[in-house]
Amino acid sequence: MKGKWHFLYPIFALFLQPLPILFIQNMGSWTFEQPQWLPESWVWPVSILGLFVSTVMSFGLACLGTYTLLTRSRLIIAIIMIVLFCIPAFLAGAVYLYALLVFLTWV
Amino acid sequence: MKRRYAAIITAALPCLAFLAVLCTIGDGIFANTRVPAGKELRAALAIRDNVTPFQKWGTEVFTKRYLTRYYAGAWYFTQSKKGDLEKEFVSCLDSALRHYAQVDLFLLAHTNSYIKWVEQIPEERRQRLRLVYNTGCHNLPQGEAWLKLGAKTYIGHPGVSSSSVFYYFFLRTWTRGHDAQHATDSSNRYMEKAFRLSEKFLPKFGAAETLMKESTASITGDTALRLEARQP
Repeated sequence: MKGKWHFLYPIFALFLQPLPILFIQNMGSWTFEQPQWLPESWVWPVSILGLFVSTVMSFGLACLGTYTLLTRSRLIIAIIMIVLFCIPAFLAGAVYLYALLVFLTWV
Repeated sequence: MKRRYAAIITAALPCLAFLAVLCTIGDGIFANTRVPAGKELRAALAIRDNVTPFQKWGTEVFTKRYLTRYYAGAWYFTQSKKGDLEKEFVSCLDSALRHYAQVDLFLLAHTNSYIKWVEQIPEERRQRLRLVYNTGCHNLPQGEAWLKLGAKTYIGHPGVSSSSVFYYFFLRTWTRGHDAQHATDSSNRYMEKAFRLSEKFLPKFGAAETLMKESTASITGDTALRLEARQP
């Protein structure tokens, strides 16, 4: 694995995507089901924070993955990995970012 | 590849992804997000019925910030069983009608009869009711009754509607100061676009034409009403 660590960024960028989805799916249960362990007044700030972290994580890992693949791998390998791993992560990050901006009423 | 080209491609990809999301699921970016004049004169109440926790979460996170930003008084209720919070809702609405010149209602619930709750409030205070938006299925015919009660504008859906799609676009357009007619028409158009997209990729939700027939929102009352409040 020595010298190949840059392959981990795009893999993490894609395979960590279930985390934001799980977070979004569970926010409702944590707030509106018994036992309630998140007060309703916290639901908005915690959701915004979660979406922000998800956006940074998705874009950050996908950008790192894209850049390191393009600079350290053969072009054909880089293109295949970017299409398979980084672009889905970019799209997911874009959805989280759009949701974040809408929920903040900034756009 | 040279580092400079790699950096350009790396910077371009998230921008292109965001553009793709905007063009497919979004309704664009509202460049002007200022709060229309008269915020201190207006209040809004929203009530969500007992649905799945995920739906409750989505409605609250989306709605609450729009109401608190664009209305001086904003209250949000989430029911945990059918019919609860009647006392709290009526008392809060009564108080809002005493303190604010214009009060808007967002009834974010399946087929409902909140109108019976509002009837309990004295007639002279009900005259301050302004917009009533109702997501309820088959609740469009309530329009005339709401106008008789004191509301100026009522917006509802005719059939077994997918009104949550409409509501997403409507709240964003309405709070940006467009009149009720424009907000309703453009939200209907965006809803149709969303249905056409779902027909293509998620056909189990049904044909766009049928969904539109059941869901297209209509206005009863003043179609020129807008968020901007003027001193009565």
